Amino acid sequence: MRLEDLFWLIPLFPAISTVLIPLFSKYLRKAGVSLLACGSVFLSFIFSSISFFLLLNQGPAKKILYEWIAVSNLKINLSFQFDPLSAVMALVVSGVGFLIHVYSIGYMGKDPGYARYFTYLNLFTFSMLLLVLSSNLALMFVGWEGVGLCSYLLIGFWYHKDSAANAGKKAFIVNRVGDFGFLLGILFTFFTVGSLEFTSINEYIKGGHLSTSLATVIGLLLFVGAVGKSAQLPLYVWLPDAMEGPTPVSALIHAATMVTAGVYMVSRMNLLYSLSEIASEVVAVIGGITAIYSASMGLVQNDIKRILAYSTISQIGYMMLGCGSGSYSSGMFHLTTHAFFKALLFLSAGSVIHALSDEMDIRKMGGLRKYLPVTFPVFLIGALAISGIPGLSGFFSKDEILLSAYLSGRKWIWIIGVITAGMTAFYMFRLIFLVFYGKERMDEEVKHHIHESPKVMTIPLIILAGLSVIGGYIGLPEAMGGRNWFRSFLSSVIEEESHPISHSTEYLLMGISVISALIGIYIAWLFYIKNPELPEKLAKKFKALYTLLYRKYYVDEIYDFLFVKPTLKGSEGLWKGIDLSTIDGIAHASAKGANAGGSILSRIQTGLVKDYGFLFLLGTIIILGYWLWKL
Amino acid sequence: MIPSIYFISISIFIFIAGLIIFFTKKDLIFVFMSVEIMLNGINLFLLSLSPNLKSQILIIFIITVAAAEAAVGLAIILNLSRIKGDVEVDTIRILKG
Repeated sequence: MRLEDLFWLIPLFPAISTVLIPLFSKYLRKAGVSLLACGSVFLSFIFSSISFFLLLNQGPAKKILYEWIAVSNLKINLSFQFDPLSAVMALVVSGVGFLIHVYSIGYMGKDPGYARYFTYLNLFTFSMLLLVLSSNLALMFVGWEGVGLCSYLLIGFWYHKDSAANAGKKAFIVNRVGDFGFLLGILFTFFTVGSLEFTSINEYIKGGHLSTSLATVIGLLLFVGAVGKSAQLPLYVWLPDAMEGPTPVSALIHAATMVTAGVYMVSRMNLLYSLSEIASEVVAVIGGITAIYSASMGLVQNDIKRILAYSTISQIGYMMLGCGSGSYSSGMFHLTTHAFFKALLFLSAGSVIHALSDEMDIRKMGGLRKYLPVTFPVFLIGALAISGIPGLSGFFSKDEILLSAYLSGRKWIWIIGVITAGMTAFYMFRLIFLVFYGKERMDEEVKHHIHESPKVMTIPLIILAGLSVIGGYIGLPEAMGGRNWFRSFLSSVIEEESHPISHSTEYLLMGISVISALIGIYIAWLFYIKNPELPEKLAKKFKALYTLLYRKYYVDEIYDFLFVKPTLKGSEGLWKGIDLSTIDGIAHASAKGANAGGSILSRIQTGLVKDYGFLFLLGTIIILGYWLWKL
Repeated sequence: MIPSIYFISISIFIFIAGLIIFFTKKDLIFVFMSVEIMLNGINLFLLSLSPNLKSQILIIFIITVAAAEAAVGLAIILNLSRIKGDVEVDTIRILKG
């Protein structure tokens, strides 16, 4: 079996079921829809796995299906490639995607838009697989826009809620800003390199033809797209609002896969970013600042999903930090482990929300430990993993990123990373203590209905929990007796300088970040178990700071004032000043003129058949006479 | 072989006859039939000027289309008589501007 005959089928299955489900949703019962949707993604996962093993034996492959666009020297193929980087992404997307599809059967079971939901979810999986498997920037952009569309559709899935419809719109518009930069980056690449194929671009860079300044321009423009899609500063504002969508969607799209597309893109173009010092610096700095900035907002939020959303932004900031520090493999590593534990956290949060009749405010939870015997331990595993507790997946990937930040010479970013690690541990355990421990603060009515989720939801949770524990061992660092298999697997795509570092320094750095995480957990324990009045006292004492964090630095209000309001005002001016008066005026005047002319000319019409016949005859005679006269 | 001048004269006669009926009769049915007569007069005129296979084929097509038109026209007249009660040409002035 050859790899190139097989791997391009991976995105095909979700595409087929995207077409089939809406066509036959009337005849398929829920079971049929579930089978089609989950089955297609499962087939993708099987094919990804087979392709992965073929890749290990045969090396990367490329498949050109046909020439899509051919205009003078612009030639774009519909072509796919399967190399280690694509393989990792395809496995994560189809694997985690499959688990979330299965979970959705339980979570969305009673929703009237069941078939619509799975259509969107399959369309998303297709677009995401297209994004990660495409072998050129243009096709990647198609997938990039496709996932953006699905994100919009699924955020606004409950479109009858105003907040959901607005959140979808916000996500779409904010992403448009980023996509504009991305498109410019693609055009710059084309005019410089003359081709959009990744292989040609890499050869061009390796050949030393690309000047550093052009690399900086292209790198920064492409990064604008990544900033939009991966919700980095300053375009992160859409992600917290995206939590209006169904929880499995938040897990799949707004945590595990789509939002990490930016990290994938930066890793894919790693030669370009390695060439430009400035572009890498910008990636690292934006990543670092985003990490600590959004973690600080996560500290005080009260909505369970929003806390996880800020955590996602912060973790993607980490990945960007790793990429910007020159260690793209550590960014990809964290992407993979993050997909496991963040999907786990979101899905178990969904299980909590499901149990509490759609309550999302953690102030109205508490003491759920004994009611949710499966959800609690898996949530705890997820929280431990994201906090970077040794032995779990998050620890390995996070430490690799912090190590690379330390080695890149930007020590202050390393310090930011360590502080963020502490904040991450704090807000995760704040969540755990408020939701699962302490007094039961929910209403009696809600309390009466509390139930553990069905098996179809808990089994994916358990599998994800398992992955969150063992996922880190694919990249076991040398200092701990491993060989960092993950990095050597990616080494054919990602070329990194290796920094020699003594094991004792590595142990020291690990120790510092673990201590930071433990301090975070300890403070959370102090605040929410030992001394429940303490947080309120502190909030009163530092009221300004607390309000600033709670109101999310007023960024939404500032954007509203700077961009949204002027746009609305300007549009209204254009509407009333230009459209209504000038353009409509011209249209109305011409209509009136035609009407007046018509009313004069219509006098000729008598309505009598014979008059028309006579005029017709007269005309014929005149024309015939003219001809005869000319002869 | 009969000289073509006979055919030409008879076709012109048919056409003029149709024209006269068109302007003199008051009944819409007659007016309608006169149009058909004129059309066939012209057909005969064409055939008498160039009596070959091509014009025969053309005329077969014209007659087919004319038959279809006649069906539509008769349907209109039928509906008109149902609504109005008669088909007097000089009293139908719906198209007056």
